[in-house]
Formats: sequence, C-alpha cells, structure tokens
Amino acid sequence: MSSLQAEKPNLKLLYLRLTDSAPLIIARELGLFERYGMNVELQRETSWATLRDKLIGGAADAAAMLAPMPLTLKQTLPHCEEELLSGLILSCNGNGITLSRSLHDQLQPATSDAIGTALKQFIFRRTEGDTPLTFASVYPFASHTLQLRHWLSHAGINPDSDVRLLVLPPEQMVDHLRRGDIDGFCVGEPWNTLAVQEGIGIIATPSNTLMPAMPEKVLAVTRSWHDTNPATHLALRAALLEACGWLSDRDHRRDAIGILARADYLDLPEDTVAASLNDQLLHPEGPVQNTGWHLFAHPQSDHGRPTEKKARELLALCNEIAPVDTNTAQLFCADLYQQTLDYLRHQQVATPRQARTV
Amino acid sequence: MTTTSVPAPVSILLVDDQTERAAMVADQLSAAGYNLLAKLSSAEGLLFQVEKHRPDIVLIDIESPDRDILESLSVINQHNPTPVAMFSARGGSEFITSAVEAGVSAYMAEGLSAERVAPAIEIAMAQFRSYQHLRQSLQRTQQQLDERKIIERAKGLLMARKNISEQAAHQTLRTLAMNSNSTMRHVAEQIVTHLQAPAQ
Repeated sequence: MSSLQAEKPNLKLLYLRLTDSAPLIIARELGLFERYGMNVELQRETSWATLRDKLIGGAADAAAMLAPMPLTLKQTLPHCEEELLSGLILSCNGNGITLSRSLHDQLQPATSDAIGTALKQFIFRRTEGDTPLTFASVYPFASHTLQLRHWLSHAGINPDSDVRLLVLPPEQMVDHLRRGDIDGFCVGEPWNTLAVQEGIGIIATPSNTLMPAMPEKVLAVTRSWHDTNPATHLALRAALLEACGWLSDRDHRRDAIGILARADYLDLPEDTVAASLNDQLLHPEGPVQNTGWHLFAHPQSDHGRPTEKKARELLALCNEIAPVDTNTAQLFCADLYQQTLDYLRHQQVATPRQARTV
Repeated sequence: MTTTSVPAPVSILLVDDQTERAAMVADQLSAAGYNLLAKLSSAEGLLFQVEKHRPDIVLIDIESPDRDILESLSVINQHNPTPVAMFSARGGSEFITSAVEAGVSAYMAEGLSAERVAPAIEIAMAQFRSYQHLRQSLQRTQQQLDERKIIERAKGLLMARKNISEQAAHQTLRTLAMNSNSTMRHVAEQIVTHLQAPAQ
C-alpha cells in the first residue's frame, strides 16, 4: 500500500526497559514498520546518555527519548554540533513517585493526599546531624526530575536544600530502594509497580495527577539524519503513530502486556507490566483505578503533536533545575506531525479497505 | 596574560565492570603518563568517589548504565564539574569518529593502545576546559562580589558601633589585616561575626 520510498529501509531504533516503550515494540510486533516499507531492529539500552550518544554518533537511526532531551542538548553536550529534533510525542505521563515502605510507615499519613504534608513535617522534625532524605530521578533534564521537584515544592519542601536529589538508571531504582540508599524515587513504569509488588515501596502519586498530559517520550532523530532521510522519517512516524493509536484501545493493551513482558523486550513478569498499562495504581491493599496513567499519541487527539508551546513549557521547567538555553523550542516540529496526519488520512482515502484497525 | 605553570598530570577515575579490560586500560593510561586515581567496578558510591578523588576526568564504558549519574554531576553540580569521556568495546571506528566530531567528549574502541588513549583524553579535556573557563570566570566575579559585600558590611558595623568615619573603618580593617597577617576578607568576616546584632 505504501507509496513512500524510504531512503533507508533497514533501521535501528533504541529504547529503554519501560512500559512507554510500547509503541516501538508494538509497531514491530504488528508488522507496521514493514507495512510502511521498513525493516526495523530494536535495541535496548540502559542509560539515557548512552541512547542519546549512540543516536548522535550514528549508531542508530531513531530513539524513544525523554521529551526534554532534544531541547537541552546544548546543556548536556555543550560542544555538540548535531541537533536532535522530534516530529512525534509518543506518550504523556507514565511515571510515579514511590517512597520506601519504611519511610512511608514512619510518616503514617491519614490519606494518600496527606503524604506530602506528612513528609514535610517528618523532614522538619529531623535534627541537623541526620543524613538528609535522598530521592532519585532518572536524568537531570527529565520529566521525572520536574515532577519530583514539583511534588516536593507543593508540599512545602525545598528540593534544593531540604532533601538530596540524585540520578540513577531506571532499572537500578528498586535495588537502591531495597538497600536503603535512597528513600524514594520518581521513575517510569513498571518500576513503581515492581517496588510495590516486592513489598518495599508505596506509590505516593502517579505523574498524571501531578502534571496532567506532560510530554514524556518523543521519537527523536538527528537533524542530519532527518535531512538525509525525510521519507523514511515520515514512514517511521506513520508506523509509530498508528501503533500509538492501537494502544489507546483497552483490549489491545491487554494483548500488549504479554508482548512487552517478553525476555527480549522488558524482561519482567506480566503482572508487573500489566498494572500501569491497565491504569491500575497498586497499593498494598489492592489496585486503585488511575485513568490516563499512560496517554499514548492518537491521530484524533493532540497529545502526540510536538508544538513549540509544549517545548517552551518544558524548557521553563528545566530552567528551574539549571540554566538552559530556551531557544531550542522549534526542535519540536509540529509541521512534521501534521505531515504524518496528512499522510495517514491520504492513505485512508486512497486505500479504504487497507485502512483497517490492526 | 600568559601565566606559565608546569601542568600536573591529568588525573583519571576509571569506571568499568569488566575487570580485565579495566586492568588493560589502567596499564595503558599509566604508560601514557596519566595519574590513575581509582578503578571502580560500577557506580556504587560513584558520587562519593568523585567528591573524594576530584578527578580531572572520568573514563567510563559507553554501555555503563551509570553514565546518567555522571552526566547529572557535570550538568547540575556547578561546584565540581567533571568532564566525561567514554570508551566502548563495541561499535566500529566510524561511530567513534563521528561521535567525536559531533562533540561528544571522546569514544574509544576496542584494541585500546596508549597512542589512542592519549589523543582521545586530550580532546575531551580541551572541550571541557573551554566550558570550564566560562564557569570559572562567572564564579570569580561572584567571589569578588561576595568579598566586597562582607567588607562593606564590616565597615558599616564598625562605623555604627565605634562611631567612626568610613575612611577610619577602612583603615581599621586594613591595620587589623596587616597586624594579624591576614586578608581584609578574613578580618571582615571576624568583625561581622563578633559585632553583628543578634537576630530580632
């Protein structure tokens, strides 16, 4: 069906062991990449910096990347002459803030809403000699850091002076919590769920109730790659936007769980992957409905459209962590997103019988 | 303008979970004249180790999940910035070349040799230095401002408490500094500590 002539049919895409890597995995498993003329290999990475540098170095073609990462490249690699851009926000939300079971037990909050207040009182009761409470996020310029800081500030806790914040890779969070190196973290799913299932953590809040519809992962490519492979880029966005749309369906998500959990993808138990993908917030007493925990892009909604306004909002928040150059907002390319929508609609008109739901 | 000093050997902290490779790299670094501060098998205690050793550069395997920790140190910790260089057992030479050209500190491939280690580290150091230079000049300006502030404050307190002129207060500070073989700043700090009114 595809009228696209991909300049580069064999591609390598990078992702991390997270529930919101689902669009890449699903697009591959449903054969959507093939349908748009591409043969895609997925490669799992363990660190955001490595994922980014492999992309910049040309060791991969595209990646599911933290939304603020393309916008803050100048701060993390001041001498990098390459740019990263995105024409598709893959997903919004998907993170959670988890406290260690022992810290939570000491707080004894009356309700889950009262955790922040209880934490503040706990911190201010401590004496000077006590080591400060330590919380981890996954990368300096990431929604995780922004959400954690927002949650602490909202409770009256100064994230710069009342606690210690550090960075840890997602898949090491639960181990560090178990060892007591950290008292809590903000991480993408399914790592919050896993901490609850192992009995060592309590989810204080999911990220969608903190800052609703915050862009989480984007499809990132380098500018030079985009310039050389514009049709391939379009095909890639089309396949992934279709996968994102497919994931909006509840029944489809249940099918996705088994695929994501496999050893060659997230390599985790199915019930660990299932909770957040089914919008279930695990508590020791049982699951609570949490609608919108993972909000994937959809051709009929605006969540996937990377606009300069969304970029500027992210940059303004990043600027509270460390000074950032805010002139990078145009790296969120709404025009490329629109091109994808137009292409998908044209396909539907041209080949109505093939424009089926997968 | 041209301050000449003998440069100390570049000090390196090496992070690699592969013991054999780490040993090989360590040997080659020493042979190339670098000062190897420590070998770590992973980032356990990495933050503490960086604080303790204050390396000029941290060398880390590109596949290490701990790279984000190091990156957070160089991005966020303004007091202790650390350049990050990487080496990789995988990946062809093309990848490494393009990455270096793109400005990503330094990558080093398999078959490391002393001849290849040195230039890669030099590239990373040079990139870091220009960035560092900017930060330091900002820091110096801040320090000078702080110094002037504390001296002004001490003079103000002297003027109020001893009922003397600004010039006399300045002279007092200078004399105290000379007599105690100390700096104006130090004397000013002591005066502020002794004379400042209790908080009301």
